[in-house]
Amino acid sequence: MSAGAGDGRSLAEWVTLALSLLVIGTLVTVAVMEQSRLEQQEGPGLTVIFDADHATRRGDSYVIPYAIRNTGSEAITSAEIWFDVLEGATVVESAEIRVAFLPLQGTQRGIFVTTHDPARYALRDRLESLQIP
Amino acid sequence: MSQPRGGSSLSVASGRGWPDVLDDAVRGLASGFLVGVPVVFTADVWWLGDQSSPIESLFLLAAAYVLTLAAVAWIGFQRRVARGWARVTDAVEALAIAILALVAIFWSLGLIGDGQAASVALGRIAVAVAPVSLGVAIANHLLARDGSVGDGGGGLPTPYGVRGAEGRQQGLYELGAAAAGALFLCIAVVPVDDLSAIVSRVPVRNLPVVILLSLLVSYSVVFASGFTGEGARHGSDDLLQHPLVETVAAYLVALGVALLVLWLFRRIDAGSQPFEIYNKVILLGFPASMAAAAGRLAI
Repeated sequence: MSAGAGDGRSLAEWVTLALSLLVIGTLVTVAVMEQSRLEQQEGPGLTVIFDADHATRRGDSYVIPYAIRNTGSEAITSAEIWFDVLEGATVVESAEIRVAFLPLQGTQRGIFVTTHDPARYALRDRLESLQIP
Repeated sequence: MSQPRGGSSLSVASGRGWPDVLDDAVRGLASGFLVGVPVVFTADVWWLGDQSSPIESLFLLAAAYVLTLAAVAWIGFQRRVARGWARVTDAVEALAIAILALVAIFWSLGLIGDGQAASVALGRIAVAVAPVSLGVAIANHLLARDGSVGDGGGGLPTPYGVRGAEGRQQGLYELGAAAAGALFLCIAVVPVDDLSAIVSRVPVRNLPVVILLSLLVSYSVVFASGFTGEGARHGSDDLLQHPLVETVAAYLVALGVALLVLWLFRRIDAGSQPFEIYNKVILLGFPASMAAAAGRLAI
């Protein structure tokens, strides 16, 4: 009996090989599709979402949950973002938030503590700098 | 003609049935876990995977295939001699087994399939796949297969299946070997303190899955992969050598060793919260249980 891949192969071996090719083929297909999708996006990008609806009051301060999401086409090794509290067009409070590392579509969650009531004041984020690998 | 090394019962004939094919796959999977898990269990590997682009992941996958092909040609994991195209297809199967093993590991740790981007999952698998697929490809050498599925091949007496006090003593030896294997791995992993980064990234809800996977892989390595003495182990009537009891006992030993090493290297102390200790011990217990299984097979 041959030891080659052809004539001596049993049904069990053919099925195993087919499943193996399916596993690897799926991975390769996902890679090609992801590469194509990322190439259509415009470089690195971050999105900040303030969850003011779930802000809580602790003494004189307000604790506001936020999420920073990497919505760009590359991983981010670090970033600096400013959070501003606005009264009309005037900035009444600012804080710098640092992002250590965010993979593609990765999210960093945290809380922003301010002395201003988010129900009365507006919140804004400003990307100051961003580093990519 | 080169011959695969380490296998004691390789045949040139192909045309194997489902039992042989599945047995080889489980054995390759177990070997892949043994070699690959310590490498996979480092935060740097995850971090590198997070940064890889899909095209870089494809190159890593191709490189892993070439390495696996070389290992399959030299050693292999199937219970037959592979020649020509059979080597190529065996390497494909070894790579697929490694990918499935990594999907199981990363999924159990909550690092893929839990809201992460597909390219992140791809990168993590691609960076870690080479050591695991090499582990699969050298299964015939890492822990040689028995002369037959029923054991006793080669005419060598096995220490398993003995009864009474001798059987109990053998069970205790095995637990000692499990402790030694776990200690060997923990001493290599704990000082570099990747564990803190790993603990912070693995969701708490995944810890039960990690426990189940640790037990399942430990059982598969020792009792379902056809490595030395498997049949005799199944045949033992000593309670401590019953497959389920021995698997759980060895896992508890691995957890105990993990706890001890964490304390020795001051990764936990009297001020640590109980849940923090539990978290670290369960996660370190994952690779430690693999090493404990390897230790039990070594005696």
